[in-house]
Amino acid sequence: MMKERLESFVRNNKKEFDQFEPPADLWNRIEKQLDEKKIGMQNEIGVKKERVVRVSFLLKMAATVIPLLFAGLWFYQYQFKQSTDLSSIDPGLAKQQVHYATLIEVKRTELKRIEKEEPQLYQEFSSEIKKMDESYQKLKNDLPASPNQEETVKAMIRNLQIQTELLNQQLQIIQQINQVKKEQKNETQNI
Amino acid sequence: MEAVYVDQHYGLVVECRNGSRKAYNDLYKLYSRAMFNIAMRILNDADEAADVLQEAFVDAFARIADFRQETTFGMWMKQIVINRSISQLRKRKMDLISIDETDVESIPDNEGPDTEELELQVRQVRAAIQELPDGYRVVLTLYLLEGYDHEEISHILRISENTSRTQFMRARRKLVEMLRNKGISYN
Repeated sequence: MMKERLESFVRNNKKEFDQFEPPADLWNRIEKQLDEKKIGMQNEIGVKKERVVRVSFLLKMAATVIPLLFAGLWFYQYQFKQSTDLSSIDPGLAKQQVHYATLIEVKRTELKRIEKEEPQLYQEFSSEIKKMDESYQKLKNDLPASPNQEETVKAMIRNLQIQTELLNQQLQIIQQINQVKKEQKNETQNI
Repeated sequence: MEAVYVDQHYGLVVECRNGSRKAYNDLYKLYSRAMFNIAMRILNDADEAADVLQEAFVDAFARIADFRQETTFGMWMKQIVINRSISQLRKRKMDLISIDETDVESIPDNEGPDTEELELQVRQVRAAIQELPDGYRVVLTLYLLEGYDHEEISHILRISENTSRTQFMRARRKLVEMLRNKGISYN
């Protein structure tokens, strides 16, 4: 057999590696939990909804037309400016941006878990992140008009890196708090 | 990974926020297979992978209002599945000391006469990956199949970039050796 690089073999046949099927009843299991948590329960008010739909037809029309108008306007305004699509500025940087944005998104939801138990701590932690995020959004908004887009994108990524690091530290602190709590619980149990 | 990060399913996420159960089901149908295979590659156990998938989807759906769409739903979901799979793997390691030893005899022979050569080869490579010890398998899978680079893996696994690199090199060497024993040669 001809020698082939392992990497290229896997890459060329990536689809074939996805050959497992999730269990057929998994969606039912998920849906049961969604019902318990009352997620996506629009169906329950379906009857009422249908009447509303007809009345709101005009509103819906407006809702589709107005954004289109805005999009058109936006396009008109920006068509002569440079594209702000990050991958057109630098594909490598775009990849980094998405990577960190994904990590942050996941870590933020992890952080949100403590909202109920530790509201004060959560407030403190999320306000730190919020500050960072505000300056990120500002950079992002400035990007289209930036004289040096690459530098701006780099600043955006640095911001995301710091956010990731910050979230890591916060999550670590939470872990330590939970650890201490657990130990205290065990101690009282032992006594 | 491709450099296109436009979320094709942006609209579905918005519909989910508006409470459409159908949109949730659509997202599930779109992503469940790929996500299940990701969990399978990390965990090597269909029941555990199914549990992780269930938790991950419920979790993602419960938090979809917080999802700010700075990234795509698929990448977000993938990261959730990977995180959960890894913490499940870590949990398991505490009560199961060594997994690589138990796997030694269970090498599938792949003697079915029905398969084409390529399919057979994919199966053999996949089977060999599944035989790798957990630490090797996870790094190799993330790098080779999920398309992360070592910097990204270092964040995901909270190891150094260098560790990720050496782990991958060792895992790769071991895999190539295992495959050679089955008569498949790679560079």
